[in-house]
Order: sequence, then structure tokens, then C-alpha cells
Amino acid sequence: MSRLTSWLHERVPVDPEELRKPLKEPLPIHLKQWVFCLGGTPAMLFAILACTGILLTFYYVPYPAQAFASVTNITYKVRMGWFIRGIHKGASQLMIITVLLHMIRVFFTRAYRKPREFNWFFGVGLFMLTLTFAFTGYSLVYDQLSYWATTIGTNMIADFPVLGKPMLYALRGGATVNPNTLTRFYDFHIGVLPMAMSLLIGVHILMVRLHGVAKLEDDPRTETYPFFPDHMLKEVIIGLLLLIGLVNYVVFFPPGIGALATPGATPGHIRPEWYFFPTYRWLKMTSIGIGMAGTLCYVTGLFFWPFVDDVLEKIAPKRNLWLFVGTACYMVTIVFLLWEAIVG
Amino acid sequence: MNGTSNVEQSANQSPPSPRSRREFLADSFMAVGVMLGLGSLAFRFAQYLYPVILPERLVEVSAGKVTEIPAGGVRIVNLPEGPVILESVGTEIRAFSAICTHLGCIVQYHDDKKEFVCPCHGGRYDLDGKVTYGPPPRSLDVIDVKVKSDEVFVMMKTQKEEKV
Repeated sequence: MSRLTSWLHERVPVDPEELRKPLKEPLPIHLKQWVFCLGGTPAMLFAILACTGILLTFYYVPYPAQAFASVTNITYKVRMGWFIRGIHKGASQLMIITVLLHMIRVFFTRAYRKPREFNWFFGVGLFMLTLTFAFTGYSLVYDQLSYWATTIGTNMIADFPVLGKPMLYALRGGATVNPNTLTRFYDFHIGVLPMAMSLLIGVHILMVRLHGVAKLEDDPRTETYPFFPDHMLKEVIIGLLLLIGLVNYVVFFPPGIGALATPGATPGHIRPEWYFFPTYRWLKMTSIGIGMAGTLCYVTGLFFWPFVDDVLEKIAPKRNLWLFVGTACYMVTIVFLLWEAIVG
Repeated sequence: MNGTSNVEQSANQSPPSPRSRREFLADSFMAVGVMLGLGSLAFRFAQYLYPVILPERLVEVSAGKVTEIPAGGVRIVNLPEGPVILESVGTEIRAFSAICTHLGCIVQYHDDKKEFVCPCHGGRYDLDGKVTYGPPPRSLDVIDVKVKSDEVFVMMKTQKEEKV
């Protein structure tokens, strides 16, 4: 042990070997395939979002009279402001895509089954947090889309039985969408949600470590390979590719801004960002009660899917009912998304 | 330390003594105290976050001149208390809230089809404010109108504080 190491060890009495242990964790051989390396990408994107988000707060003003002007300032006047905002916006969209892809991979490999049910809960929680992040994020721009998305989104809460109105008032900070609403959304976006997200990502990774990476069903291979450096390098390559993709996307499609929010006039043909298209299409087709109940059922079913899978297995063993039900749900979601995207 | 010595050590240890009633009561009081303390603190935090909601009251607001509403037509006015549809039907003036009863967007008037359309989820209403298509759960809210010497006044709900 060198003098510096022993000096440091005296002050931080942690065995370096203990720190190296997680890096040496053996991983099942199937993780060498790229499709199984998707789990790390949302975490990397979250780091990018945190960095660019902090940079955006240097110029953003969370008050209705100045919010739109400050976003315009960031986009068109601040040096490299368009780039920082573009990366933030692009990374948020990419995060939703990568979380979805990771969830689909976990679903079709049934990696959520006993004893990993809790980690599926945390995963669905992270997906919901990602969507809440996106919703509160685009509400901050304070253009027409922001304002009306906030109005619709918060009005939906009012239809919850009993607690609807109190929840609506608490979220809006008043009876209608008002300056408090923007401040609250801002607080959620830069304070509450990042804290919750960091905590859940930590627990999610911890659970993966405690259980070990799930082995593939029907895969007889027992070989393993180390997390470091082999798997780590793969993750680094994915991270670099993400960055290259994001930078190019922003250069070719720099972020714009819509018209200033006008509380007195809803613009024609308004609709939310693409990731809310399935819910939006569903709400168009049904009454508010059925719309909300259906959405709640879908989210509850997604959340408790590991147990739904067990029940389906008991109803018809070896019939792969989980695959039919799950695929049907995915197909309906995709059909609604495309329907809204194409027909509008 | 090997396995055998572990077994020996545990064999030598006396079984844990049961907690006395006094200890149990002390722990219970402590737990209840901590829960009450944290609960009341959380309640104060919730009170701080919950906004002051003033009771709704009706105010009489001017919505412009009668002549500003096209004869047999429709005019949508944006008042500080909310957007209002004014309709001229014969000699009568009718008013509806322009807020869609589905999720709160503001409806637009389509003169060619003589209907109000919500741009958010596609709800449609006829000139009587009744739902003709889409997800709105009920008709547009009717607003009381008064005409005083060529000026239209509407009775609007507001939660703003009264000027003294």
C-alpha cells in the first residue's frame, strides 16, 4: 500500500476490494447481445437531462409573464441556448423511447417474474415518472400547447371521485390555471421529480444487483462474463452513440417555440406530444368517466402485470396467455398512437 | 472465524429475555409520539401547499353592445371571468359559457355548420348548447343575460375578491 493510499485509507476506512466487487459481478452470457443492454440507456439520458436542465434554469423564469420570453431568449438569443434546449428536449423524447424499449424487452423475456416482481413495480414507477417529467417539462414553455395541455391534464384529475377537486386545487395552486400552477410544475420538474427519479433508479439498480441479472427462460448456457470491462465498454459505446445521435438531431432539427399562451383562446388542431397520443385518442373516443376508468385500469394492469401473468398461467398453463394478452395491449396502444398520428 | 465456533458461540448465548411490560409501554408511547409529531408536521406542510379557494359568487359583467352581435349570429367574448358565447335569436340575446364541458378547452364557432366545436377532443354543440357529437358529458353552461340600454350584461361566476 503506497503512502498516499494508506493515508487515504486511514481517513476513509473502506476496503478498496469491497468497492471493486460490484464491478466484477458475473453477468449471464446473453447480455452480450445489444438488445439486452437497453437498461442503462435511460440512466445515461437522465444524467444528460439533469446537466442540461440545470443549465436551462440559469435563464428560465417560472412566472407566466416571463416564462415564454425566457424560453424564447434561451432558444434565439443566449449563446448555444438552442443547443442546450435541443439536447434537453431530444433527450427527454429519447428517454421515453428507451424506457419503453427496455420495458418491452423485460416483458417479452418475462424477466419480471418471481422473485423480481418488485423491480417491475419500480420500473413501471420510473416509466410513470418519465411521463410526468415530460408533461411538466413542456408545460413550462408557456406556449399555447403548454397552457392547454396543463388545462386539460389538470382538469382530468378533477374527475376522480371524492378527492378530485382537492387534488386539482392542490396541483394548480388555485381553482384555475394561474401563476402558482407554473411555479408548482417548475418545482415538480426540477425538485420533486428528479429526487424521486434518482431514488427509484438507485433502488432499481440495487434490486438488479441483489437478485442478479435474470437468466433467459429456456437458455441452457451457464457461462458468464464480467461487468467490468466487457459490459461496461458496451454501455459506454451506447452512451457515445446516443450523444452523437442527439447532437446531430439537434443540429438538423433545432428546437422551436409555438405561439404565446393565450388563456382566452384554444388554438385549432391542438394535440399533445406523441407519447400521449394513445391516451388522447382514447379520451376522444369515450366519455370522461370511461376514459379515466380505462386509463386507470391500463396503468394498474401494467403495474401489477407480474401477478396478472401468474393468474393467466394458472387459468391456462402452458398456453402462453400472458403473451397473447400482453401483445394485444401493446398492439392496441400502437394502433391508437398511429391512428392519432396519421388521422389526427 | 469458522462454522463450528459460530455454532458453539450461539449455543453458549442465553435466549433473549422477553421485554417487560414497562419497556413495551415506553416503546409504544414513543412510537405514538413520533407518529403524532410527524403527522401534525405533515398536516402543516399540506396546509401550506393547499391554496386558499375563495367561494364562488355571481357578478354582473358588461359583454359589450347589442349591436356588436351579428343579427341571427354569434359572438364569442373573452371576459376576465371567462369566455362567453353571445347569440342573437330574433329579439332575444342568449349566452353560454364557451368552456367545453369535457376538459375545459374553449369552443370555436363554425358558421358554415352553425355549431360549436372543441378543438381539443372534437366535442360538438349545436346553437342551443346541446352536445351533438363527441365526449362532452353535458350541454354548454347557460349564462343569465340582461340588456340595459343597448348594453349586454352577463352573470358570471368568479372567485376573485370583491373590490371595496
